Formats: sequence, structure tokens, C-alpha cells
Amino acid sequence: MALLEAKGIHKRFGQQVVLEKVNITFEENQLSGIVGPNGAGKTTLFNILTGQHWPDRGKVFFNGKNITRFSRQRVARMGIARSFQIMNLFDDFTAIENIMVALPNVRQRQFNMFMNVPTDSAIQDEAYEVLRRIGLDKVARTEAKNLPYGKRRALEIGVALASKPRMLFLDEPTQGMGSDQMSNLIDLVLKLKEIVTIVVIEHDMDFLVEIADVISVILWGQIIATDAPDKLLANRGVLQ
Amino acid sequence: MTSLRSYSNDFTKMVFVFAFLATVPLWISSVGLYDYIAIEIIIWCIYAMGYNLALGYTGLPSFGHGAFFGIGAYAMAMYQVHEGGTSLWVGLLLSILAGAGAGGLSALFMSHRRGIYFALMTIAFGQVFWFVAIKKREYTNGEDGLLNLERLPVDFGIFSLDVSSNQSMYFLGLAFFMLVVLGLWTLIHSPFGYIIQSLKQNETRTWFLGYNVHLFKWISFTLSTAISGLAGGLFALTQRSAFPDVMSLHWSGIIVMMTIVGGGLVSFWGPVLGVMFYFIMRDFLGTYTSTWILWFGVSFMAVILFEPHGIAGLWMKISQRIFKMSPGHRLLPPERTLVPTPEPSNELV
Repeated sequence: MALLEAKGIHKRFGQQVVLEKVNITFEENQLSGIVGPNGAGKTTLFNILTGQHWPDRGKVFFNGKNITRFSRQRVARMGIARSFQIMNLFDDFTAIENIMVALPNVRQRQFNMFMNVPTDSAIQDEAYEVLRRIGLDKVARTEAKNLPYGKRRALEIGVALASKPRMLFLDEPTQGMGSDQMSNLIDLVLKLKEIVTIVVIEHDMDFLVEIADVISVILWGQIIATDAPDKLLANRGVLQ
Repeated sequence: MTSLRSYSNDFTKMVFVFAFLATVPLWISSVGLYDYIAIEIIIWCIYAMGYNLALGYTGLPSFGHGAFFGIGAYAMAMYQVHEGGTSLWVGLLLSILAGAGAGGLSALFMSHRRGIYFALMTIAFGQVFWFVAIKKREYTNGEDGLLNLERLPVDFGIFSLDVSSNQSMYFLGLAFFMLVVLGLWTLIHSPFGYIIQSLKQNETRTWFLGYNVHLFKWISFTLSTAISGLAGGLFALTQRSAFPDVMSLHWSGIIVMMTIVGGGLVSFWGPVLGVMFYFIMRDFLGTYTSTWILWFGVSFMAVILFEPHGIAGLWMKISQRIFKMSPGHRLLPPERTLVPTPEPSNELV
């Protein structure tokens, strides 16, 4: 059974139809990519799958459960985390504070007034472990706003990862990155692939080909092909 | 350990502030001030600390908070005048509940709003409460206010303390100030505190971490108004009366200015600095010129233009440069001596 499945998703904003009869499935422990040109409906699809928007028609199932009309925080609590195309961090927090607030241990005790977050050693251990995994342990006490761009992108992934999701959605993670930063990001995503099911939106086909097990191509709000990267590259229709 | 040092630093600072405030009655008259101003300062410090929970920590720009301060004052006054109440604890509990009730009710309509829309609704609600206080003469005595209140004794059952003198009233205010400070300090270092600071910075991200942002805004605003109600109740006791003027837009603006000038946006102690700055300007500068409020306004404009983080922000800049203090003076997790990891860290530079 697919971990996440969207059936017949339809979404319009005003007169503009953005998604039409989109059917897509994501298997557990796979890295799936969604590629398409600007305005194809990639981010809208992401927003629907993560609870930011509700579809006009169609259903979304996560682990067999219908989550179509769930609120975004309920979707997050079920184990779906995401990063954003436009950087979304807590800029005044340090890197470790960004991670701490995302930890399930903090979320589960959100009304525990006697827990001191910055001095709780179990919370620190967990947060440092996430930072080590994304390579930011050395800048743990630097405010997010003072981190360089590549590290901020990594921290954004770290914040999503800290919530211990079953599924991680990355929205155009390479945006604004140079080639060195991109190759580091590829290493990071490949490492994360071993512990979490990942879906990546990109318009950079080369990036997706390097990391994805399966890629779906979206055009004018419809999925026109889904296949392994090598097969997709051999598909003349898709390349056109 | 750094964490213990941070902890002890914070507590040292807290103990120092409490100790300093405890000595105020000993020297205040020798510097040319009267002891009533000390009570005013301590009560406004409670009010400002409570207000800063909404503005500084949750990012809720309330411009109608005076209403909740006034409602707390009226709760104490009506308890005494209409009910013949004689228990300080009941009176203050009613002040807190009245502040929280009015704040909670308002926040039901406001917690899903942001920025300018939130601010406008706080003004609207503040004006509604102020208008009711003026028009419902049978309860509030209108603009004439409720007069001749008693400074109710602090009754502990086996003994009670008289607070009719200004000095003893000051110590009652100080005791509540200490409770509020300790409560708020605990709160902002708890998960709740981290979550409200998160939503202040980025609501969208906070939603996607699984938190109900509207609920946290509602709770934070209601707690803030509960503290304002407590301060209002103490204020009514202090001046032995309750008037609607503290509920006006003008007085709501003053608490915003105090908090921002002091540096509440970046510092736990900022509101205290702002309150002291305001009252010192009023009483020192007020002896030389009747236009002291103009100069307070000018200082507010100077802060907005040159140092938006206020007095505390200025001090932070200096101390970060000189003492290399941590960002925002927040209690931060300790630095770790990094142990070698099985695989090298993935550097994204």
C-alpha cells in the first residue's frame, strides 16, 4: 500500500484551474520527485498534500486514512513535514532553538509549564543529533538569520526532520544554490532518504535524476508521466 | 556547565532586581521622590510585564490593553462598593478573572487575525469596554468613578498585614511583581514560551510543526490580560478608587510606548526599564517643565528611528561588544564539545 495517495485532485483559484484530476501515489522508503515548469501546479499540489489548501474535489489518503480535510497542524502531527520554496525559519532563534521547537518531545509537552526547554538535556541531545545529521552542529548557537544561505536551507530541512516525520516534502530545495551547495544538498538528501520517505518538487531535472527513485512530471495541472528517472529521460514525449 | 552558568546568571539578575526594588522605600525620599511613585512604578511594571507577554513574546500588537487594566480596577472597586467585599484575595482574584474574561472574550474574535487587523480590533474592543465603563453609571459611576475604596488587609488567616501605608502597599505590590516575574520567566522557558516566540516570528512554519497557532495566541493574550487585571486591581487599591480614564486609548498607548522604549521586544526586563524611564521622566523632568510628555514622545520617536530595540537593546549591543554575551540574552542550550561522528558532517556553505 502506498504511504500517501492522492486521487482525482482538482483545484481552482477563481477562474483558473490549477490542478485537474491529479492521481499520484508515494511509496514508503522511496524518494519521489515531482518536476514541471513554473506555474505547472507543483506547489499547489504540495500545499494540498500537506494540508495548506483543501482540494475542490478528490481525496488524499495517508497510510490508508483519509486526510483530505485535515488542518495543516493535524497533518503535521500525523507525520508529514515540509520545507518551503521561500525560506521559512525562525530567524531570531538560534539553529538549535529552531530544531528544539520542532521536536515531538516538545510538542507533546506543549502545555507543560515546568519543563525548561533550553536546559533539558534530553531535548538538547535530540536537537544536537538532528543538527549533526544535517551538518550544522558547529553553528548550533548561531541565530538563523546570521547563517549563510546554504546552511539556512539545510536548517529548514533540519526543522522538518526534527519533527520525526514519516514523510518529508521538500519544495524546490535547490532554489538559489550554487553548484557546490547543490552537490552537498544531494549528499544530505541521499542520507536522509535512508530514514524517511521523501518527496521533492523541483524544476531542475538534473538534480532529481541524481536523487529520485521515481519522478512524476506535471504540466498544466496534470500528471503526464510517472516513471524511473532513466526511463523518463528516454521518453521523448516528456522531454519535449 | 554553560547551562548552569546561564541559569545562575539569570537568577542572579533576578535576585539583584528584587533586592534593588526591596530597598527603594529606604532611599526614595532622599532622592527627592515620594513613596507613592514607587507603588505606581511597581504596579505599572506588573502591567508592562503582562503586556509584553502579548507584544514582545507573542507579537500581538494590542493598542487597547488599558481596558483590561481598567476592568481589573473596576472589579476590585465594584467588589468593595457594590458587594461590600472585605477580602483582598477575593478582590484580586476577581480582578484577575475580570481581566482574563474580557481579554479571553476579545481574543476569541482576534486570535485568527494578524498585524494591522489584530491591532485595529484591539482598539475597537478597548473602546467598547471604555465606553461601557463611562455609560454604565449604575455600576461604574461613569466618569466620576468609584471612590473611597479600602486598602484591604493581607489576611493569612492566623495573622493579617495592614497595607494602608504607602510603604506596606509597595511591598504588597513588590510581592506580586516577584510572583509575576517568576511565573513569566518559567512560562517563556517552557515549551509554551518557545511556541509563542515561534509564532511571533513565523506563523506558517509554526502551523506546519503541528501547533494550533490560534489557540496559543488566544491563551497568551488571555494570560496577558489576566496580569493586566491583577495590576488594575492593585492600582485601584493604591489610589483607593477606579476611574475610566486608564481604559482610554491614550493610556493604552502609554503602555505600548513604555514597553517599546524599554526594549520589551528583545528583553525580558525591557518593560521594567520602560516603566522606570517613563515615571522618572514624568517626575524629574515634570518638575522643570510641564511639557515633559512632549519629551517622552520625542524619546519614543528617537527610539523608533535610531534604536528600535529600546534601552535594553542598546545595553545588549554594548554588552555583546564588551562582554561577548549570547544573542538576546536568552537562556541558550549549552555548547557541546563535539565528539567525532562516524561520518563527516555535511557542510553546506
